[in-house]
Amino acid sequence: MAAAASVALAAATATADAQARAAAYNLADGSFTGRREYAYYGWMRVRAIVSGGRLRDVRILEYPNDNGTSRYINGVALPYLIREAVNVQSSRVDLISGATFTSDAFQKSLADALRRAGR
Amino acid sequence: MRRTEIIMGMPVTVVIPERERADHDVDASAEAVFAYFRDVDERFSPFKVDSETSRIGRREIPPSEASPEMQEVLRLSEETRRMTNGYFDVWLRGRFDPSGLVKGWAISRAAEILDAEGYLSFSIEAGGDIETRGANDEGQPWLIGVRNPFDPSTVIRTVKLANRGIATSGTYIRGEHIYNPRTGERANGIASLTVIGPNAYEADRFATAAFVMGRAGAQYVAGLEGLDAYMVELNGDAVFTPGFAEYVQP
Repeated sequence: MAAAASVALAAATATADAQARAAAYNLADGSFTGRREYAYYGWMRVRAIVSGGRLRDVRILEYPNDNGTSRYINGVALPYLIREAVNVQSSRVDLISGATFTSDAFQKSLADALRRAGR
Repeated sequence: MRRTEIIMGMPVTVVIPERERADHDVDASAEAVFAYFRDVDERFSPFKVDSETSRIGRREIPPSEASPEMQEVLRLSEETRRMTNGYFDVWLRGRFDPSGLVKGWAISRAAEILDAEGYLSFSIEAGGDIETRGANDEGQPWLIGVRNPFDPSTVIRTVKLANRGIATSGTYIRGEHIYNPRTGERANGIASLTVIGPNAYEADRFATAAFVMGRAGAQYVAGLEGLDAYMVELNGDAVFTPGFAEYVQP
């Protein structure tokens, strides 16, 4: 359980699906230091503080932009991201969010106009 | 009731649960929404030579003499440019194009038209950006799919939204088509970026700006109060904020 929490909290490269995240919320009390993870523009390492089975705080031990100075961010505003592989789903939906073919053409036309305008 | 019309070069859809018919003329209300979008198109299209947007771009109208609606868009554009450190900018290579903000803004304004008529539940979608109110026909939160950027006929996640907005910036099928206003170069690095926020306006402007930031976009949105992101990378991985996971329909 501690390992699951550590991985899930260990920043931008944490891999978790809904089940793993649910498990990670059922935590052993204590202080858990995560693995050093690459976060696009540098390395990141955090420590999770758990009490009463809930995540209370996260200490940022290493952060890409701060040259190793430790930073403290309280549990409300966790700057971590979750990663998953994209999978096609088949559930019924009311509406879909995404660029459409129509707006694709719209934007391509705009792009062409801008190319012309720029040279 | 569900109606779609092509306006501003994109499909605009209004969905109103059948139960609203008891209190409202839903067809007349949908028509009012479409009329509003047609008016926005006339005023704000960068492709119509006589639009106010085109005239401002040609410097025929000083911003101080623009219509109240255009002054609002100019003010919001400047605010967004500052909030995004210049990643969002309606002026690109000397051309004026507020499209990255007007779509979401128009959806939110159209939603206010239905609010004023006393509607409790509806959804308005324009070009893939959506604002939701209340509940769908089944009395449940609206089920909104996130389009697969690698296969637009499919959905990769479904979220449950009530009284929230959602917008996606992306590159579908071929190439990238959103420009980084800082460099004039095409934005790159990610396939799509979806933002959920308090309304379509907030979701749209930050989806536009965060998409231009490339792979740093999701991290940027993670730092914004009340906004969440689902970012699809070109390798087929998705990176998302913990708050986004709260909306996901398992």
